[in-house]
Amino acid sequence: MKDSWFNKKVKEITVDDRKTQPKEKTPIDRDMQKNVMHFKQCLGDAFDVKYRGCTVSGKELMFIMLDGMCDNLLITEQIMLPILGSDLSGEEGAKVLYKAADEVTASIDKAIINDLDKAITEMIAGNLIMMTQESEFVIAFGVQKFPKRNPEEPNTESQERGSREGFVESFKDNVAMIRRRVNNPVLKIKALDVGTTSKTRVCVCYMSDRTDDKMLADVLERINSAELDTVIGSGYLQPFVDHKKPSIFTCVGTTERPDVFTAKLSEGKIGIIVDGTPDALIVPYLFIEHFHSLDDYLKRPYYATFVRVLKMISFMFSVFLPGLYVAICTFHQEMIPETMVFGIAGQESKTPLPIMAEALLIHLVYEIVREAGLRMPKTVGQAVSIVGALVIGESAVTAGIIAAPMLIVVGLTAVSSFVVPSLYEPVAILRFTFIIVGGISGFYGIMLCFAAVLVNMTSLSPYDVPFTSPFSPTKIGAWRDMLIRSSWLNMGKRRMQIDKMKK
Amino acid sequence: MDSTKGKINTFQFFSLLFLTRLLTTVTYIPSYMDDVLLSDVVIQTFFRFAFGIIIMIPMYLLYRRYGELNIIDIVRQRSAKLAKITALIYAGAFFYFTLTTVARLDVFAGTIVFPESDINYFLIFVVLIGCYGAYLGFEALGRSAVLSLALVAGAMVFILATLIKKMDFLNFTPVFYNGVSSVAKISLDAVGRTIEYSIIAVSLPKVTGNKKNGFFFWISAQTLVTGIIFFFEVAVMGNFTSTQLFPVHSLASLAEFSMFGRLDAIITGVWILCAFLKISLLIYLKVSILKKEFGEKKPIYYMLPIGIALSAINLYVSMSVGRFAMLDSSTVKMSLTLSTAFFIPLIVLIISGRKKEGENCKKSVSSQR
Repeated sequence: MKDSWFNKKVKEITVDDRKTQPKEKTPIDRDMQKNVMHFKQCLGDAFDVKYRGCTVSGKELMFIMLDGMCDNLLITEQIMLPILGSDLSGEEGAKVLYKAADEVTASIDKAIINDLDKAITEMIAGNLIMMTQESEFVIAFGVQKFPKRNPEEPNTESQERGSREGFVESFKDNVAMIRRRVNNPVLKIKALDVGTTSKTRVCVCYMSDRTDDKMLADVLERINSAELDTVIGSGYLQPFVDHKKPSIFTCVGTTERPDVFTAKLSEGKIGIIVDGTPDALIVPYLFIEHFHSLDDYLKRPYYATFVRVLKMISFMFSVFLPGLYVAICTFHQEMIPETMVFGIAGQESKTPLPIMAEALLIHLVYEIVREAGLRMPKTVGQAVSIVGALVIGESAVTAGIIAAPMLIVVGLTAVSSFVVPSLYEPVAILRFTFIIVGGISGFYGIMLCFAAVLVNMTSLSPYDVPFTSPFSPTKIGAWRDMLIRSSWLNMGKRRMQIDKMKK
Repeated sequence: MDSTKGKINTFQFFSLLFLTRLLTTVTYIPSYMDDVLLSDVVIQTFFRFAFGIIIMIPMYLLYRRYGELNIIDIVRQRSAKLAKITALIYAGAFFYFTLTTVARLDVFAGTIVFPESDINYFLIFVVLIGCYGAYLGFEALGRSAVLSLALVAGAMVFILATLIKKMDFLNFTPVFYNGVSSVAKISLDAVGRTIEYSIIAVSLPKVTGNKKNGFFFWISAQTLVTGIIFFFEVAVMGNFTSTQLFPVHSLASLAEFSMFGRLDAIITGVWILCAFLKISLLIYLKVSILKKEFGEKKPIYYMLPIGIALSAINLYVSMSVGRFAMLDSSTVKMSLTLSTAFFIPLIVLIISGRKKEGENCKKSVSSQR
């Protein structure tokens, strides 16, 4: 694909070519002091880097670690004490390290490194580096321990039934949570380092017996070629693994729940875990999946189907209701039943603003209150909600700024939009669009705009899986899991498989 | 390479054609059926079925012979220059039908929806959205058609169901009371307004699956649905049908459900959805034909002049209903449809048949030597 002028300019400004090119290796010097000097030069006067030199059986050893990132007790008990009490005489250079690592220490997690810069990176990641004189490599011991949160139920994805566990910031814990749910070697996890500076660990998870190889290669290629300096959250990677067309819909799902993540992997999808963030990414993600939840599979099928339909209706309400209200009140009053039309007209006639402006204003206020409630501390957030509901809502009606029916529409829309939280972002944008279009050209404008949104959605086809599958292209067999929820007795061994959703 | 890239399946393609044809049905203007009695309006849909089949015979034979080539590709095998001319004829026909589709929507919006407002912006908006749909491509349009079909079918069934209690069978007149020829004439006229046959001629290679069955399902469904709509129209509105500018819209205005006294906005929604798909599809086809024959440039280079021309001509036409009547000429439409769907394929069939004969002859002579 040809780069646009804008993209080229952005690249010129933001990407330092020297940094993106693979660096040459810095070999380990046989003079240990030179290696230590290199560490000190690279790390400066970092107070948390600890250098501990010792002589065992006449052999000089140096241990380097980052304070706060390592388990001191583990280092003392399993590495330092055994080495200090050992006999390393008779060995020279590299063999000293071999013997110390293999025969003396009790550590399982260790690696041989022959690149000094890689050794520094490993040390920063919380590993203990051991080096000696006359050796062309160093040993890294995996002794990481840093402050981390315990797995808790994610606030953003509450479930009535099922596991109460949620992903945490440590990718190792997250991987362990997935491994615990799939006791089978088909679960593969590929680790990559992304970010020129941050070198963030990214894990690509999939099930080798059902994931499409082409899709996997595509995902890996996209992640590897992501030009990022630092990766702080999974959202940084999302645009790289998403579709490339301009759209307000995303084909990347997110979850904080290991059970949902595992269920998606079992459908042949690819999961991406980014170190330092509890949100895992899932690709590809279909539109209909936004209406699914884990509870659907844990409850009776008829109720789960009912809930899905309810969610779809809520989605429709949250997108179209304000726009339709504006369109009907402005252009198509004949559509409103007689009993209602006088009531609405009476209320609306008392307000100074035209209906479209009124709808835009009240929705804007609602979005401000929502955003404020989200960012404030929880206790203050509740106060903000009360201010929003009582002060702005009630008072605005009493003061005659907003009509009561409009407030009912906003309330219904707001509640509906929380039924499908993963679609909130596109819903918010579409709602404003439909209010404007409905106010300018009525129902006809809304229909035309809907058609444009529809064709935009259907044009998305990440990894050759259409976003609107299994409805279009029609895969009736998949409807038993996607549209309705069949009983496990009828669904067969495997649920929906993503590669069967291809056109 | 994926062989289905850029292609849609039979169901998607014929859903798309069904909706674009439905648009012609729901927006038909009864002035074309002046001397036809009410019951014959319903009966003529079955004549269309027969005419539709006949029209497609040359195309079918070409398709059997050349498989994955469209009409322009077949002509190109003979002469690149002729292919360019053929492409221009098809692009011109599609442009004309896009123009009349937008113009009809404009007349509707200008006379019924916003009779007192300036709707020029709406017109430009329609063309703009149509270009956007075309830009997103054939696959996106095909997939949208399937989803739209579900919505349209639901809306139509709902509207017609609410009208059942308003039907009066005394509105029906004896069948063929004025003879068969007038019925055949309006059927042929209706077929002449069916650009979908020409669309099939140029887009069949982009469709996967059993196209023959797809075509029969499409033409049968189209006949049936048109027949049902006309049946309801006659049964509910009787002689008032011929006095309405847009009878199907008037029919929908009579629909009532519970406390909702007017449901015509639903049929307008159907109309707009179908119009969007038709405009997008026709623009897409024009662009893809021109791109193939006159150089692979970015679609925007073709789309921009098409969009500007569509908007400009329609803005000019929208100033008076007389201009619309001139533009929406049945004769022009019929000539374009019959040429692109029947005569050109027939000529190509004859020429290619002769060429093949000639080649066979040459082969047999060379083998004898």
